[in-house]
Amino acid sequence: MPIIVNLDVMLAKRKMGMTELASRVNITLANLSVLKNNRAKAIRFSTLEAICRELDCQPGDILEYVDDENNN
Amino acid sequence: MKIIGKNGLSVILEVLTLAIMITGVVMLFMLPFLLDYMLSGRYEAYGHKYYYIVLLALLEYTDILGIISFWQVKKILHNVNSNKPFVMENAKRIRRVSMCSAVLAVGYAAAIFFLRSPFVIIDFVLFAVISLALLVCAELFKMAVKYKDENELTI
Repeated sequence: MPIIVNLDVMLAKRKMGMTELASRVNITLANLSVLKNNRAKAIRFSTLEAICRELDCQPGDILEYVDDENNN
Repeated sequence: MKIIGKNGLSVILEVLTLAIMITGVVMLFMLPFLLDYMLSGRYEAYGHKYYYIVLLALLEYTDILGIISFWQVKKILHNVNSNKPFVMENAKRIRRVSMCSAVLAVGYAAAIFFLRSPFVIIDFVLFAVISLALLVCAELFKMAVKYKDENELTI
């Protein structure tokens, strides 16, 4: 998929763990892991909003569009 | 009455499917004797042997494909009863039942030339329609599985 989730980068920048973010955003660790590992098919605005709020960042800091050719 | 889940109709149907399958296997070996008994004293004018062979071939053919179809249905019902109805395996199994029905329809179409009976024509039409309807169902099931996967992977 050409949309890349850079959640791990933002988590490292904010020095926050996956478990902490999952509990703050109120989603399961398994679902957050699916999102982090680029296996998610879609993300709800409410989830995105909560992640941005907790990590104090913009959606663009988490999501990135990479052309499939560049990706390969 | 509960239709799906524990103690539901689907559980009874799974057991019933297994019973039909076992009966089918027993019939596979019993058919030559049963048919001989049922045809004795009939169709003598047309040649008892001819009808016996053609009917036996057609019924054994139907029995084998029926057993395969019921095995697929049993597996589908087992998945339904195990709380995982929308899996790609079920879509593939519905497609297999559809293929079995198509093969049966072809067999009955060929049988029209050997057996002069309206029931053979009715069976041919029936299996052909069932096959096409199940093919559509299999595709619908495949779409449902895709939607479910997408929904599950929406965070």
